[in-house]
Order: sequence, then C-alpha cells, then structure tokens
Amino acid sequence: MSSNYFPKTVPLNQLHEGQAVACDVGDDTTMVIIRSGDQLSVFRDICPHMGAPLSEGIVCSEKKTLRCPWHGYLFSSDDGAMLDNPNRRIFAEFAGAYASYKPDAAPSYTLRLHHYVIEGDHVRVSRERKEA
Amino acid sequence: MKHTFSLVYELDCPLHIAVVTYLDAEHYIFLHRKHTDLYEVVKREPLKTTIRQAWKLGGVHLGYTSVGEYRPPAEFLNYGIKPNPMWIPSFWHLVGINTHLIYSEIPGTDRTLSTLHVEVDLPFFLWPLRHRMQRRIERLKVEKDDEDIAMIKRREKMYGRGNLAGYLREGQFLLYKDAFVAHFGHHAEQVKKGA
Repeated sequence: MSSNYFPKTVPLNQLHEGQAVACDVGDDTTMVIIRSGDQLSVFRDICPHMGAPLSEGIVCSEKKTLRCPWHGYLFSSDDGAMLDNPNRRIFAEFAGAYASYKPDAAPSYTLRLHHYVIEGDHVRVSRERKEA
Repeated sequence: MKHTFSLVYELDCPLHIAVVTYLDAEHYIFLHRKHTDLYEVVKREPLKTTIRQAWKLGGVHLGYTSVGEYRPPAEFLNYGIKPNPMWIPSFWHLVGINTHLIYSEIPGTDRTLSTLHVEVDLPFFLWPLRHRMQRRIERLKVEKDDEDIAMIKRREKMYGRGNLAGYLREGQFLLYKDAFVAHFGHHAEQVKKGA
C-alpha cells in the first residue's frame, strides 16, 4: 500500500451505525469514523476549535451531525461543515461587552474528511483529505 | 445554621490555565453536561454574572439562579442562590450555599493550589445531614475538576503546557475576558512544550 495511506487498517465490524468510533490508524494518528449505511465519514479525532476528542462527541444519525464534547460546536458528519455554535446564543448578552472579544471574528471551523478505501472487511484511511 | 468547610488540593497546570479554564464558560454545559441541563445568563455586570442553572425533571426545568463573581486575578465567588422557578418547592428553598474559590501559584512550580471555602446555610432540621451535603459538594467539585484536568492535559499534549493562544483569539468567548487578558495576557508568548 502506498505511503498515501496510514499503515493500520480498521475492521469494519468495529464501526457501528450512528457511533463516532476512535480508530488508531498508525503513525500516532487517531481518526474518528462514523458509519451511515455504506458510507463512512472519516476525520481526525481532534476538534479544530480547541482540540477535543470528537469520538467522545454526540452523534445524531437522523440529522447527520456530530456535536463536540467540550464546547458543543455542531458539525455535519456528511461534509464536515460547522453548522452551529450554540454559545453564540447562550452568551449573546456578552457581544460587545469586552474589547478583547469579537464574536464576528470567530472562524467557521471545518472538519476535513479523509479519503478511504475498503479492503475486504477492513477500511484503510488515506492521508489525503477531501476538498473542503 | 451555618456549616463551613474547605477543600484544598493541587491542580497540575499553571495558574493562568486554571483561571482561563474556569472563565471558559462555553464548556460548562457540554464538558460538564452530566451536571447541568440548562445554563442561561440572566444578568451581566462588569465582574459579576447572574445565571440560571437547571435540570429537567418530569418535563420541567428545576434549578436556581445564582451570582458568580470574578475577583482578579484568581478568585471566584458564587452566592445568592434563589430557587427557580420559585413556585415549585425545592431543596433551594431550604438551603443556601456560598463558595469562595481561590487559585494560587505553588511557589517554585508551575502548578496551582485550589482552595475552595464553602458555607452551607441550612435549617436546624437538616443539620444532621450537613456532612452528607459536604461530601456531595466535595464530590461534585472533584468530578468537575477531573473533567477539566483531562481537557487541560489533552490540550497540553497537543499545544504545549501553558499555551493560551486558543483562548485569546478575538472570536473566542471568555467570561470577564478583558480582566483576564490584563492579568494573564503576557503568558500568551510563554509556551513550554508538553511531553
């Protein structure tokens, strides 16, 4: 297998519908994989906001979302787009309260999905990420 | 009748990280979700915030409002607990709890001493339960700190011990952020790589 792929494969039977599963793919890298029917969503097990382990987040199979376990940011498990930061509402009262806090400067974080291939009853994850 | 006690232990993180984690209110209802279902800001003042915290019970959010106060650089008070909603009889109609948390640097280390002073105001007929309440409050504090330390340790491994950068971004919310930056902003450049 070319070096474009991580060395360790993941047994498909470890991936359960609607669960965010932390998978060691080798080279000190952990991916989170969410199974939805025949489709897999694969991304690094790190929230781009503050570094939370996304595999401990909350998956909604119906809406195809993943909520970060630390700060509640909501991402699409389909394409990795950030859908909501609930804190903007919870702390709306503080908009403009501090010179050092500018809510509109908050970036829209994105989970970058990785390519993968199915090898028999295993999945192998590519180092290459899909276009955002 | 007032029952008072203190809880003192070390946190394996620099003082500015202990403080910023406390002020990172965005994580209160997500990382600590087993402790609260609802967190609302009722009133904002320069160094005080009145919040409503509640738990869903039989379809109703039952909880209390309380005042949190920041005394820079590293002291936090909670007081003024009032049941919410008032018309549903609850524990908070009988018992008041005031806390004073002090973080301080342990000399010669980059660790933090956490000192929590607690005053429980309770009626005479609940006095026999004061030690049970104390144990419950102590357990809650330790559980929350364990969750915070797990977050701090993971961030330390990824971004370096003492790294504040993520918290100081313009778009990142922190309670009393200007006061925090005034006291601890100089730590932004001071990052030691974690193990």
